[in-house]
Amino acid sequence: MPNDELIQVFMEESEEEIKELEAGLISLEEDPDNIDADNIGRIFRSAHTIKGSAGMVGFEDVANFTHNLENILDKVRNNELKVTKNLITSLLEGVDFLKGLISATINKEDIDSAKMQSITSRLKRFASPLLDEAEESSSETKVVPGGVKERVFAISMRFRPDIFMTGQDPLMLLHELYDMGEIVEIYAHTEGIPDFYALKPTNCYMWWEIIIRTEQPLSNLKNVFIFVEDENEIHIDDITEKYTDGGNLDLAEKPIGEILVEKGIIKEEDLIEALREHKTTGQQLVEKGKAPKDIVENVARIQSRSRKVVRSKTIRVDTEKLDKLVNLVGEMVISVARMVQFSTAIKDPLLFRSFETSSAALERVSRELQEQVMRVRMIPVEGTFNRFRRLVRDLAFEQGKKIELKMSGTETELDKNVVEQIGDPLKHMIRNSIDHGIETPEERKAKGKPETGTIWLKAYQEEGSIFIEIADDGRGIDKDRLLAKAIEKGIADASQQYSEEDIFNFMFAPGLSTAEKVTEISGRGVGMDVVKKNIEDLRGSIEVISSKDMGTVFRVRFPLTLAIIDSMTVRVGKEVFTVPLSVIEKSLRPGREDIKTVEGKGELIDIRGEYIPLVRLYELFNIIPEKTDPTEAFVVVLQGTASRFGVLVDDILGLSQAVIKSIDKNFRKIEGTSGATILGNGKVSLILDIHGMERLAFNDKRNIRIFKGVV
Amino acid sequence: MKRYILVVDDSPTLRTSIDITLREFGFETIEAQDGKDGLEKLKEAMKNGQSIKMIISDINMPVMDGITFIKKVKKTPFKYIPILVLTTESEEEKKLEGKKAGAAGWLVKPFRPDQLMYVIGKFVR
Amino acid sequence: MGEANNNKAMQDMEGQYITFELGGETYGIAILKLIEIIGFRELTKIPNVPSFIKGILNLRGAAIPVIDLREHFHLQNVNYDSFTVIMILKISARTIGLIVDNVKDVVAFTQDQLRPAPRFNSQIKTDFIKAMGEKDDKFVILLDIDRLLSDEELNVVDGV
Repeated sequence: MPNDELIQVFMEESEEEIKELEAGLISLEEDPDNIDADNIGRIFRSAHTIKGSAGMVGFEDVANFTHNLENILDKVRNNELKVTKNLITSLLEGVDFLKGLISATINKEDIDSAKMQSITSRLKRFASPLLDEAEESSSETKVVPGGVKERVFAISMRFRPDIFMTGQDPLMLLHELYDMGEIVEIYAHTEGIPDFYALKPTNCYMWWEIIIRTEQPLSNLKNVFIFVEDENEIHIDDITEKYTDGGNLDLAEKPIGEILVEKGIIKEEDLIEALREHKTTGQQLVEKGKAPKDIVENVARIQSRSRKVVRSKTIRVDTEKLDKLVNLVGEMVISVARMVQFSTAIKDPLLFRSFETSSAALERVSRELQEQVMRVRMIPVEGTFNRFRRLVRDLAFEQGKKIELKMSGTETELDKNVVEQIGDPLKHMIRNSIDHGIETPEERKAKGKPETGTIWLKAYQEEGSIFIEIADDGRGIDKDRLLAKAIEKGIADASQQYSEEDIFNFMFAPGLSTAEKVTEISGRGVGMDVVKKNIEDLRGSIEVISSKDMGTVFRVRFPLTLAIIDSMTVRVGKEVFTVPLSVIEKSLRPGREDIKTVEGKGELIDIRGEYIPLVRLYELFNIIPEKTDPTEAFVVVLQGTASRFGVLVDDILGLSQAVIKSIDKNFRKIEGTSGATILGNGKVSLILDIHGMERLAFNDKRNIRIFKGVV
Repeated sequence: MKRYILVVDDSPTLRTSIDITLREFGFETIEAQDGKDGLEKLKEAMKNGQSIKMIISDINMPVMDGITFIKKVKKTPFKYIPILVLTTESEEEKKLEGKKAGAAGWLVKPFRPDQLMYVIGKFVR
Repeated sequence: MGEANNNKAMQDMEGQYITFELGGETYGIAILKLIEIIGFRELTKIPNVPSFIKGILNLRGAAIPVIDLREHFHLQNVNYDSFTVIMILKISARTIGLIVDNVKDVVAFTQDQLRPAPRFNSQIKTDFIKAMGEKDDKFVILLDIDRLLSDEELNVVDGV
């Protein structure tokens, strides 16, 4: 219901307008042959305004009735209708009725519908004298189309660069399309975006191709573009038939060899032989001369097109659901493994045999299930890799260098979390290669190298791990300078001999930067130590290989699955903690003579001649321990980014596989831990995080006492 | 920061009903009764540092009609402000005229508050 | 105007509440927040957090933090026994466990049985209370659980 304020405004306004209407009509009547355009314009507008306003306050009867008056006045205005005494009389009668209708509506009184009907039909006859009422009412019934069928349209939208100045925004059109049906495919063309230096922020450089599946007719789609179609290139094609023809769903799932056999291009034996080799089937068959190259290529092309169609048949799944699934499956794999261990307790040999057979099958199936579920979480690195094209181009331009970026293995898939978070560390390594690796064109020429340097970005899978490599053909790492710097910063010991690998690893030590000058983009206080830490947080590792004037390779390695880690469980008091095996160097029970307390450095433990800090876990986490004497307890030696340290625990319980659960989703990050896992007995165990523990133990002043303790 | 929308319409009922809806969604309205008044209000708003996010304008108005108003706005620094034209179903050809003049969208009268906000939502966050 | 606002607020609070006891008083939480009620079980302690955060429990594979409302309200501690239960609540995107003495009934409150939270002398910070419910001459303190366990509340301990 409209509110009182609005009705009040409407009442006053309609009174004004009706006065205007009456006055205008009367002067029109006085001089019917000499129509004053201004006068008739004013009268028309009054009727028009009343109609619009009545509609806004929801007085539909008033609006509909006034529409008749407006209609006639419009025709008078356009000289389509001659002003007669009769016409004016009818119009005035209409205006009189309108007054009563408005007040009746406002006061919620009954309206005289019979009278309204008769006046309306009289007015209608003036407006369209040739049309009798019956015809008119029949013409109002809309033609209902037979059945609504979904159609597929291909839309391409290219805009004039200054589209934004017209008050239009392509995004708005996209939103509108989203509302009209299912966007099956959408591709934004970004090729037109110029160099940053030539970019006008107010211009639109992109264009779009969209495939939409909708029940809406073409005309409705066209309506979306009514404001832009003239000055921009908008094409809409109905591709309903073509679209289904475009791909054969059966084809997409079949191996290429099978398709070739079915088509009679090759024999089945040839296929089997080809499958024994490791290269792709198509490649094999071509090489062996069993199938003509062009045919194989053609089949492969059709197949890839079909796969594209299939790809559009994907569904979106909430990552939370996926995580749950991953967790559950991980849980299952571990339970199965535990169950299999119990089989040794079975005394009856026959029973043992059949138990073993079925449990082996269960183990295999659950492993496979786990692998498949993990795969669902994986996405290709392509998107992340592509972001660097721009970075390389801009940095090269800025530094006057010529650099080509080559990518391979962009289809390699990695866990979604890793792909999302690997961007920053990769960016840093690429910057490093550009800033310090690739030489200027002059320098390269002098060395007899091609003027254009190359940076390779590779991803591949090998031996259950996924590798990402950032390689350049630049000047390589200057070992002597790196070592000198490490000594200068107190990271390396001048008296000691270091292997090449050791020296390269100094790169990742905190507080070491070999950059001669800090460029605008590289080294904003972020060193390679942070890169290493970020990668380790993602449970990856990094190594560097370099050779003078040949170039440098950073190789990052990630485990195939991230949700499960091999771990060691340790106990402190009543609490059980889980430690990732990847950070454990060894565990031992120290002798009395191995423990030293050094003023200002705290408690140290001798590990084969090297003294490393000893952290008492119970002090770090404020737990009541069972043992405080290290010689009765155990020390687990952890190898972190920057440091090695020993952690004192009551007991080591064993090795296990742990399914990682996040806690911060329900709580917040717990310092010193990276999540939790569920133990065999159903209890939750926190997973120790080496970086967090380092922070707690060495950076936090509150914990300095740990290192000042007395043995 | 207040967000303003300029409403240009000769009908006080239209202006009031739009104002009621906009206020409910946290916008402030500046009202003008015709195109000429609309241009004045734009200048005033600029002087007062009020940021106008959108213009909603009727077509058929005395003194200066909506089409002329839009054309004029498009020649001022206010040309980036999206303009929504109000038409009635009998004014199909006005839509095109408004569009040619530079309007970004239209709304057919009468409309409900949700329809109004839907259209505005396409232009203003 | 104030009156009208109040009525509106009370109207919004109509509905079913799960009631429980804590130190002799009866409290209520909107039933829609409740996922399930489980018996007390041993928890894994979380290091370096205030004592009202009791630890983590495993609920069908998910790690859920558990909070003792009694300690949070600075009421006297009691030992957990076979009557002690944990209410599992969904608070925005989080799942959290709440230790309470015992759960009573589900009570439906209508607008006329609800009063605005009084500023009474209690150890309880009154901004956690969204209203007082009165039924059969008994008072129920209706808690605004979202506010009680807001992000802020959980993160405030960062500075400890």
